Amino acid sequence: MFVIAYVTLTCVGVNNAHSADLGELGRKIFFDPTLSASGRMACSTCHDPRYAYGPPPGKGIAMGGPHLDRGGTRAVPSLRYLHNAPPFSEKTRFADGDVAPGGGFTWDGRAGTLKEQARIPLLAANEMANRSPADVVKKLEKSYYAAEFRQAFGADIFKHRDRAFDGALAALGAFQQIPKEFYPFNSKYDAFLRGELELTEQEERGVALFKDPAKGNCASCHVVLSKRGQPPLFTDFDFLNVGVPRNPRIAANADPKYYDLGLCGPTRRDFASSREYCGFFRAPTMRNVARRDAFFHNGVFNSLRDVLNFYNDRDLHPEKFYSHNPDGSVRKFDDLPPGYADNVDRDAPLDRVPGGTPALTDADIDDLIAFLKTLDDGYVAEPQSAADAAQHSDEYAWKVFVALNKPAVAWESWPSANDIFRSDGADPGPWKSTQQPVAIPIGSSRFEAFSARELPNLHRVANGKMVAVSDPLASATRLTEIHMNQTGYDYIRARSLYNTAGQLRAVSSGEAVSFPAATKEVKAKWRVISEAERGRYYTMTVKLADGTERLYGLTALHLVTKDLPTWFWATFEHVDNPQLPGNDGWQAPSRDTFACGNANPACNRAPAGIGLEGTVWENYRLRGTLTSFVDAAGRPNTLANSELEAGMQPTSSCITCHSRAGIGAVAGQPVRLPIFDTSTAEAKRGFVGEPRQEWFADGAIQSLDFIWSMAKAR
Amino acid sequence: MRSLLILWSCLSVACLADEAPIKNVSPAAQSDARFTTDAKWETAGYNNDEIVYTILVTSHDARIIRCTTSLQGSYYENGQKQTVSDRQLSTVFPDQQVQVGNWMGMDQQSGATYSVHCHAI
Repeated sequence: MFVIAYVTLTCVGVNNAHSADLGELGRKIFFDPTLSASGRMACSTCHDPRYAYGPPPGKGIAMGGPHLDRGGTRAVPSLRYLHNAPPFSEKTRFADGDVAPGGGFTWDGRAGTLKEQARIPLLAANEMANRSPADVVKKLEKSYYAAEFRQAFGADIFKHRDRAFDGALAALGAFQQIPKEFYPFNSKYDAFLRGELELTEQEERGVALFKDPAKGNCASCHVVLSKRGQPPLFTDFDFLNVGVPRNPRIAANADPKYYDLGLCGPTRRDFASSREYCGFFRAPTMRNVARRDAFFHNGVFNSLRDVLNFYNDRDLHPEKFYSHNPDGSVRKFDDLPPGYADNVDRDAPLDRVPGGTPALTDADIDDLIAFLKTLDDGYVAEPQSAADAAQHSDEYAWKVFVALNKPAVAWESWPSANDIFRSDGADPGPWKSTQQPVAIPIGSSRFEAFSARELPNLHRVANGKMVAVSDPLASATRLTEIHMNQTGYDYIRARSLYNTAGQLRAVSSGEAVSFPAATKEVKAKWRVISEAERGRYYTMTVKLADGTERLYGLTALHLVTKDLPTWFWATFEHVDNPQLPGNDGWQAPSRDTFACGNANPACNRAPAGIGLEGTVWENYRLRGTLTSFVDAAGRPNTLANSELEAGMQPTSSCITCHSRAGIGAVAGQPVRLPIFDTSTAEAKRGFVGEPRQEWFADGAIQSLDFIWSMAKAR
Repeated sequence: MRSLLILWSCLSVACLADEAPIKNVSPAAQSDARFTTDAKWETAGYNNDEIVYTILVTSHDARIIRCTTSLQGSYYENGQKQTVSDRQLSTVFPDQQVQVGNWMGMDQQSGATYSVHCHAI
């Protein structure tokens, strides 16, 4: 089915080129910035493959033109799952029997084919800004793939400007028909549809809400039904007007007379007189929607939660979304000219009346977001294999690394140690994955606290002066966080290990605390980085109490799995760490036989062929793995991460240190072994080698199965 | 990691953090207030990843004392070593110890100096 579509569509207008070759030629054109007037803007600049061929974070409304200073007027759409988009028709018949505008490409459907769609950005003045097709062809003639272009379209192709331009568009169209790139159907939801896995309870609730006509009602446009044997596209390509608020960040909107009305203009012109279509835009696919940070045609919202809050509260609290008139009243539907409010959709959940109740609760919204995340392409099931962990440790470490970080960083949505071990010792409640906001508040429970209580009268250097620190965590140059996956979380809840009383009960019950094999825990470290370093790191933005934002880069990552009785330990670092100020350097060489082979396991490379190329993840290195306390000769195994084990690398062994995680009671009070070895004058010294009997002598302290974060319990 | 314990009393103490430990307690008759100080570089923060310089004042006086602590240290900005100073006022109750200040962001290798002036109130 896919192959037929591929060949058929890509051969349009092409004489000699084989479709697969044409697609590869299209790939080169797609990634070529020299085809723009600025020389710095390729198709891929806005349609970034790392983000499902949609915009990179913060680039939803792109800047283009000859000097990259002309703002776009719409949010960059994803180019994925357009392979079967029907051509635009004003009289499309939909599954519910409605006949209405539908189909086509771009937000207003004005392009009838992928070729026509590709033409638009090449010539748009605020995008790649070529003056004419001939201008594009001149650049193609100078490109590094000009010979391939001649081979595909004929030796004299560049003498025929129109044909050459048409060939380039055909190649771009062919590229966008490559299934692996543009319609891989490899999300978690696809795996669920294939019967390979079950959704979580929360994701299942999210699906139900998505379909429920009285609740989310999302499926009325973002259809969930398979069609012609193909997995659902989560759009029926229909047009609607949901009354999206005006986006003041779009430069064109500075003109109060300017309105982008989609189907009725001004960009599209053939329905300029069809007033009933004004404000109508084509419904996009929901696939990969969780990877965007610019939503609706004008990118006015930056998170899924904002979007769902809008659907929920548009008619109940319009003041939250719309601008105000000079008299202070709310200017509802402020991105439509006066008199067009009747065009706005009123179906649930957009059917509320002031004073009524919203269709969705906050918990419903969490569930919907959890479901929408299952539509992200590139899902890799969390690996779980004791044999691989023990026998192919380095390769297994990278498998876990990829599964937890690509395409989305799964562990960021897991509850943090602070979420699990609440300060009041209460049950943290049923599992709930969380969507991180664009800018994470510094007070978020994600981060391990830097205690102000321990450091009264704290000051720090700021602009050459010592200033009082009101927020110690915000003053820290590094942030640390710990997260656990659902298997571990559910185990903690089931045995009430989230507080000290529960832990003491568990260890005194005679049944050992032993996490299930699918448990995974992650510990991550971040450092403040400069904007210039952004492209090299996986980043997050933290919003400080004073409203300013700070950019952090992920520098270190411990991945721990319960595949083995004494767990599987792997640690990764950013390749730049040894050069960072205050870093002790890598005091032991890396051991990565998967990326480097056995001859030189410290080759300092990321492995090839596992999808890291072209992503920030290729800048991370496996420093090593641990699966036993000692080596074959009885020597202690050590493993250190220069950021997470700063100051104690030579005496660092994850497995030995964590073996000391336990709890006991003295005079009714919980006691634990110290994390660090305090018997020497060294500031920080760890424990290495086999666990010593005296640590657990007389049963005073009993094991909590290597999980130190349990010591956070109150 | 270096830790410096300096015991002193009288009107003031002035200390260089790189010096060898000094211990002394002056007779009360010669001083306005009896107190000792303790200054140390410590690691703090989660995973002990921040360097903090701490000055403690312990009163050995029967009266409430008021102390002025002056600090001078160094830090690096864009690779350039810069100096920074600070002054803190603290009230110390009889036979109590207080952390008169904790300072982060200074370069430990460059060391820090401080002086403490106390008087009874």
